[in-house]
Amino acid sequence: MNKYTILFLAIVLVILFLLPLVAGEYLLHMIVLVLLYAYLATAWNILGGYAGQHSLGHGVFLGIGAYVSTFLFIQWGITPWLGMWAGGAVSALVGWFIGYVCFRYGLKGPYFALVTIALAEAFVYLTSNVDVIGGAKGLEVTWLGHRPDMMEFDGKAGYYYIILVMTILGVIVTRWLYQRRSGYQWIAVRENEDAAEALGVDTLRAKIEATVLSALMTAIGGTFYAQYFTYIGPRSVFGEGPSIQILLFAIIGGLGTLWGPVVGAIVLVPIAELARAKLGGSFGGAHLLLYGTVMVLVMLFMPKGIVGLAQNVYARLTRRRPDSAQSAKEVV
Amino acid sequence: MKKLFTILPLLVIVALLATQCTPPAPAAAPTQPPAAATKPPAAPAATTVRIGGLWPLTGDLAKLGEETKQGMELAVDEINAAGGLKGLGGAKIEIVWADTQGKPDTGISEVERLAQQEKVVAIIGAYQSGVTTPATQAAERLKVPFVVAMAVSDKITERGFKYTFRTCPKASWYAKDQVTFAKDLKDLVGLTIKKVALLHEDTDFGESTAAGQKKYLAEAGMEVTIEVKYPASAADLTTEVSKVKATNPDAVMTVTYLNDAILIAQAREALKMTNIPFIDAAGGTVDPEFIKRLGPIAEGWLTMIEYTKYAVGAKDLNDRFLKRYKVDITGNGAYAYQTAWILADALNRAGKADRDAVRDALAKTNYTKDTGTLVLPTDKIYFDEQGQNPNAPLFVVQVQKGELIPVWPGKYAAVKVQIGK
Amino acid sequence: MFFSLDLLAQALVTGILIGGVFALLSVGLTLIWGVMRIINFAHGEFLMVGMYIVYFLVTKGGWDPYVTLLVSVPALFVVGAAIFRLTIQPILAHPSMNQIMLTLGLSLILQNLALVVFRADPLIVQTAYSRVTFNLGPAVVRVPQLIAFGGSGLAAMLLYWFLQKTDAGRAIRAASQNREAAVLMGVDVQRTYLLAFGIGSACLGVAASLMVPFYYTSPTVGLWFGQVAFIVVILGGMGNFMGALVGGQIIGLTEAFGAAILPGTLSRVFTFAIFILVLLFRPQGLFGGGKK
Repeated sequence: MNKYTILFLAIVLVILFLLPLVAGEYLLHMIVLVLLYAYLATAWNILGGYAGQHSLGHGVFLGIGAYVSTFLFIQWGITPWLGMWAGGAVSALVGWFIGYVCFRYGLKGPYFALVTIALAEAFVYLTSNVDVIGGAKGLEVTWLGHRPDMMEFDGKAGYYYIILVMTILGVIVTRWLYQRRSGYQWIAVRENEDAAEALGVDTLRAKIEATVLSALMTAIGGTFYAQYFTYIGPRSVFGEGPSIQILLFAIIGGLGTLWGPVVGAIVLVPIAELARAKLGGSFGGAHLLLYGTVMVLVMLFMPKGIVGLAQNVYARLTRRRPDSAQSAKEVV
Repeated sequence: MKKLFTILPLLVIVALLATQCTPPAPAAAPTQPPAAATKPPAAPAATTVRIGGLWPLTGDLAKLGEETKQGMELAVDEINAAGGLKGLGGAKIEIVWADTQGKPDTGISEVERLAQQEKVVAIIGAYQSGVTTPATQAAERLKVPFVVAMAVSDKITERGFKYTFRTCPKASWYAKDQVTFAKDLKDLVGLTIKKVALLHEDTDFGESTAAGQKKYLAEAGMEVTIEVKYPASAADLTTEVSKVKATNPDAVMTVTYLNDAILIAQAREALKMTNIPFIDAAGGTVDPEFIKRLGPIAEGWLTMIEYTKYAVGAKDLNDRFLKRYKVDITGNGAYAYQTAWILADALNRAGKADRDAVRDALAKTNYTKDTGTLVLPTDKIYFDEQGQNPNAPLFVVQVQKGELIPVWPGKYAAVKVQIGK
Repeated sequence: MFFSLDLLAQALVTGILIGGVFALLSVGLTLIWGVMRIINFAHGEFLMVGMYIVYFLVTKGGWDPYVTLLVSVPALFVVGAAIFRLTIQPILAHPSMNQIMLTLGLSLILQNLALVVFRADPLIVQTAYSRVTFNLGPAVVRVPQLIAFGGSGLAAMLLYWFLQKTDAGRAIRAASQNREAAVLMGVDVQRTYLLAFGIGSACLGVAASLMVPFYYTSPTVGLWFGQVAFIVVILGGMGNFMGALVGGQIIGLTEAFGAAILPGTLSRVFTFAIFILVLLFRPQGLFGGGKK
């Protein structure tokens, strides 16, 4: 990372931190959404992009995080600041279990993806039928007024800072992880699992590790989701829908790149939200239509996503061939 | 990297300081967001006041959402035609419609949109309890008055909210009356009900009404043979109705929306249960569509309703509604209609299109025939400390000859109830 | 829990009837999957498109739902083939995850296009025989469901005949068993794929016409049925025709009995559990054979 990049990032950060002082509520709301999805996509990217195991069921982790912290909040008044770690722990455990069972039985690629979708959907029906966690009605996060200690704020600024910090940390953690041995192992597994195995990489452990970390991060995002929207239902967080939304930005932004998920969210979410706001009442679903169209176009014409494309272009411009080891180290 | 670590703590401190400043309470005057966002509509001219109409305009309950929309529309048009809001210099009311699509998530984001972007001064909505509960919470956070014209879950006015008001009855009141009616069947037609099965949709509406049903049935010494829940969007309910039949109940109490009510009625016919009274708690069965789609199968169906044209003085509203929309008005429409009038009255008393002023005016509502058009069979509408209107009467109606006719309570009964075919 | 023989008998009848429809939904998918190894996540949405076509023919054109077969089948064939040609064929050689993402994108597009154009209202068709039922012992049989069952069986038999006895059908089977050998034998593989995808989609056209008399049409109707098709295909074995038929029955019965015995929609958890277990322990399905 050269000093120009650092300077650029620093400036961006300053602007982001000072934004609530000048921005209106609606703009802040938009940015919160961008950051939330950037965060969730970054979390997904650990398993899907780096380790190459495409989970189509991350809603499971999102939902666990949301439901656990909310349940603790509603039943026993436990602050989500603590609840989110409980949610994260449960989610990590579930992630471990899923990872172990799936990878131990050699599920790969599309088959793993199918299992994850089935799990996500199964969780929807499970939660819909268990009354103590709200059943089909879902759970309402009790509004106590402006209570930062309970992660509830008047106005958007409070939420904004939380998700901003979360996203920054998410990116930092991801970068740190893949500069360590875990990162190299994941990429090795993704590129050629058999070769990695032959070279002595414990692929099972590497994959489970990625699953657990991804699950933990996503779950914490789930707590934020619950606090921000103050309502969660089985289909809001579990299920195929949310699961696909999470990975959408990672794919479009660029699978397995550091900034891909963030870029994907920055590019798509505002367009989609504006579409929904403007066409809203009469064109419900317009934003999903947009997402779907972009997905198809990206898969057809730039499967490496926006960042992937940018990397290719950059490499071509500087007349260097993008080789895997090099781009693994590159930030942008 | 080093630079980041020095800047970050500074930024964190700035951030913490910033959160301590709560943003100004949103008033009707817009705070312009930077140009990057869409431009909000021009600050409303003094001659228009915008209110939000939050209903399921599409989706499974679109038909019912339409009823409420029409009720609200009719009232606002009448108010505007009569000179608008006198307390605001004759300002006209403009309704901004928002579609919940029948989903809580959408309801919440629509409340945000109505409040932040459309800058409405108050919202009327939202039909489904499952949507209204979170939507009113969102409105509470944004400090926008929300008058619930139709959504019955008890909890909605039991949360100590200041900005939520409700004109329509609570779920437990329906349940109570259903049970009282079941008891009265002994005197009316000589039918003794001892065992009751509960069959209801699984969101807030169904759940809270069922909770009330269980409570009042227990008090009346009647047994609940089974409680069967189903998702309102189910495609077929034969299995559910079979489960009910297998327990041999004397009566079945249902809580339904429209499509599921139709499926239940069809299953009831197919499974030959037409001798057992099915008593519904309003919802979908009061919609004329119910009778239209089922035709002769609908005959004999019993349901609770909040409004009937057979009540004294009610025919007038029905005629106006019928003339414009070509169908009879239902409880949903009538309450939406009445609520719009109540909101207009509050606006007049507030004297300005300010959310807090309107909220305070709503809390002081004392609405009688002298205040304005009053179509519900009660003398006065007001809101208690929880925002609930205690004077919301209920009737039991039965489908006879293709029409919903009141059969209970005695003072409103237009015909005698018929059980069994 | 309260069991009664009547209830279980009803579940048996419902399960078998709906199982037939599930089978029909799945034979198309298993064909496509077996031949091209493509996992088409938009399968359910094709059904939805078919159902809208049928719905409008019935309500605006006054057609009888079963007559719409004449239109729905070719229409779905064309839609399927077109979508295949434009979006899927170009990336046949790409990693399977890209193909999955693409079809996921397609499903989002179709669902939300329908939502935007037709809105979310569930549309029901009423015909003269929609409500006709007769009793089979203690169980009630709804005629439209019975017709759907029969129609599905007929369609399945036709498809089987086609695959066994016609050149095109044999080419499809050849391509699915061994692509290289098929090419060597002079089979135009690209065209065969197109045909297979078209036929797989056309099966959904049949299903659409059969289902509209007793099921509602809405933009999201493809969600659950798409998932069911996947479950049946995995259960029966990808590319395995008989597997789809048997799998359809198994899932139909699981659903029906589950709904009778368990509260609410809990039965679906079991259906997904079966799916996951099969994927873990017998990914080639009950009738084995398909390569992983």
